[in-house]
Amino acid sequence: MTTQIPDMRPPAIVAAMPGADATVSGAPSPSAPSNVVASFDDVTFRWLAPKKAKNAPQPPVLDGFSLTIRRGEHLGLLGPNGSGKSTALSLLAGLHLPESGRVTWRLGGIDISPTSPRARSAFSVVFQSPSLDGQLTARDNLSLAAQMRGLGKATSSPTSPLIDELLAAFDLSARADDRVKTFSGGMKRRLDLARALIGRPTALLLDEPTSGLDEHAFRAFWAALNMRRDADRLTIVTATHRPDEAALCDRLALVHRGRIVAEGNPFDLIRQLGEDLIVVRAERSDEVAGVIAAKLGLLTRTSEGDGRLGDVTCEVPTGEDGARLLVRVVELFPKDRLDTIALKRPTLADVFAKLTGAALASDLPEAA
Amino acid sequence: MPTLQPPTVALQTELASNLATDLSPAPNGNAALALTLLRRDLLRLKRDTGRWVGLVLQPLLLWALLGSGFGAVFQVPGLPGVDYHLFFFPGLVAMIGLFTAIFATMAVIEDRDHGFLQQVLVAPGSRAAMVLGKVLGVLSIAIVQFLLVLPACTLAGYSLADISYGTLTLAFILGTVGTTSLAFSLAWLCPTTHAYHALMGVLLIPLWLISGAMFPLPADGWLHYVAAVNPMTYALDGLRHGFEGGSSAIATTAPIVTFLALAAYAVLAFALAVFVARATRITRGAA
Repeated sequence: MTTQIPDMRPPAIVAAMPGADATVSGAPSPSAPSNVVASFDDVTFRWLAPKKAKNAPQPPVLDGFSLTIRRGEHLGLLGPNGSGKSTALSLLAGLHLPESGRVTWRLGGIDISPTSPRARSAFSVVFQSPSLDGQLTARDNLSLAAQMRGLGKATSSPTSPLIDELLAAFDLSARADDRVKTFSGGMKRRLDLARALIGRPTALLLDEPTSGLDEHAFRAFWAALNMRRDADRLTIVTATHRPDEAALCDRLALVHRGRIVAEGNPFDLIRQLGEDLIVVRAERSDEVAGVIAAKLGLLTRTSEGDGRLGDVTCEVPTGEDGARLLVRVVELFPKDRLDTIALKRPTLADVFAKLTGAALASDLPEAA
Repeated sequence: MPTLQPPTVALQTELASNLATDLSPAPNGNAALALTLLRRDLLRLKRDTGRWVGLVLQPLLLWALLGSGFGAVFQVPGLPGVDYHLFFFPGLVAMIGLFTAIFATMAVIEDRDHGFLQQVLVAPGSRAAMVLGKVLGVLSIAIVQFLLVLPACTLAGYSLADISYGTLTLAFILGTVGTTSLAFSLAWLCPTTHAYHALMGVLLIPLWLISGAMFPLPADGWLHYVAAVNPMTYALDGLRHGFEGGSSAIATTAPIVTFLALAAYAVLAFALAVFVARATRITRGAA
């Protein structure tokens, strides 16, 4: 549970302090809780229409998107590709500006635009593809990142203790002087993360940080990040379509067609869905779902399965015995009518499917 | 009505810690960004040892082969006896700046969407600093290449003692800054490297060809007028002035005109690159 800390800092004093940014996007907002580090306020964003279709209205990528990010939390944006979560992250990083609404960083008690140098000193971004120079060594890449963040010459030297420490922390010391283009995907990801942590940013924005990684590399990435997280008091925002990655977050916002459809702790979201799920795979799955709903009174939904087979997911009501219900479902149909049937614990993918009717794995049509 | 409670010691510590993190001194983002990009290009040059061979041999080979081939048939109108090796050498130096600019800025396209430049776009520095860093990086590589090739001018018939080094350096720097900035703008606007290749083939390389680098410019006709508005004509004239002690008989413009035009080229091309980089990457969503 996040503690709400009242803002005790007089904004005028904060604004007058050395280093306070003059290029703020709005007035100080003393009413906002001080543990809010960034926020989206009713943000709408759509890509510019192509020149050939200037009059054709573009669908909004973000539509009435409101969200606060609290200091020190790990917030996840969970949604399928094209849902708007990466766009939200790019607005937070100042790569694009909203059509309406506001995106602000709240640093030192004042609201700051994501495009201001002060905000950009406060966050780092790990993009979907590593932002590294493959022609250079791991040491060179970290050294350049340190220099770019304005660290002194001694600290940004390729042989500085900071760079040695980061290479060791991310298990890259043995390959420190090798060119990055020879690294595996997992090593590049770890190096990219080490790069992003240089300069001790307040917040880390991760856009599908583990896409393309195998299970071992996935675990290594998050183990390395979690070790640094507590030490650096990092705020992390992760955009992901992976339920297993989303489950690692403290808080989740489920994003569907540019809107947040649910928000909360991952385990609470799963718990709200109910108990176990019975998943049936069969031909003419709509017909099967209808029979189960009519005969047993279970809530069902259908989704595409494998080829001509479809999936029917049935929610086991709270207090009911899932195994016994499964047997009753089997008894409803003649032999060979059902292809497979299984009892499983619900996941965040099930939560998302229930709330939106869409699967996390599916790619929604690109708005751009 | 809720009653406000004074903050606890733990809370005060938390607030002080947050303030310290948020208000740590902001680095000079622009200088840091520009110097990082400059250093990156130099590091890439240092790490790529094979590139050094190409840096020296490729231009010299082209110069030697073209000089030998055209030498027998070449003549500068009004200046009989000028050897093609001598005529072409300033063109070769201009080509060094042009080709370095083209190849270095081509990397911008993929780098911007899937590589190193992604972190540059969210770094605490301006787009102008980004363009400056890239231009300085390309200029540094071009200067290294220029210095390695320069001694060969004696083989062309120039004397190292007669060169006006200030004029030569200024012409090379202004010309390379202008061309790199122009190439950067085109690279930034191009969606793919294929499109960039095509654009270079129909725009920048023809500009070099009709600058007087490979053949004397005619005194009239359409080519004369195109050359007069071609900024690379002035870059080449500046180099010719430099190689010939400050004023060249082969150059098409007087030194003062040359350098005013070159300075305008460098400034306007750089401003265009900054404008393009700022306008096309931070876009406001719009219906």
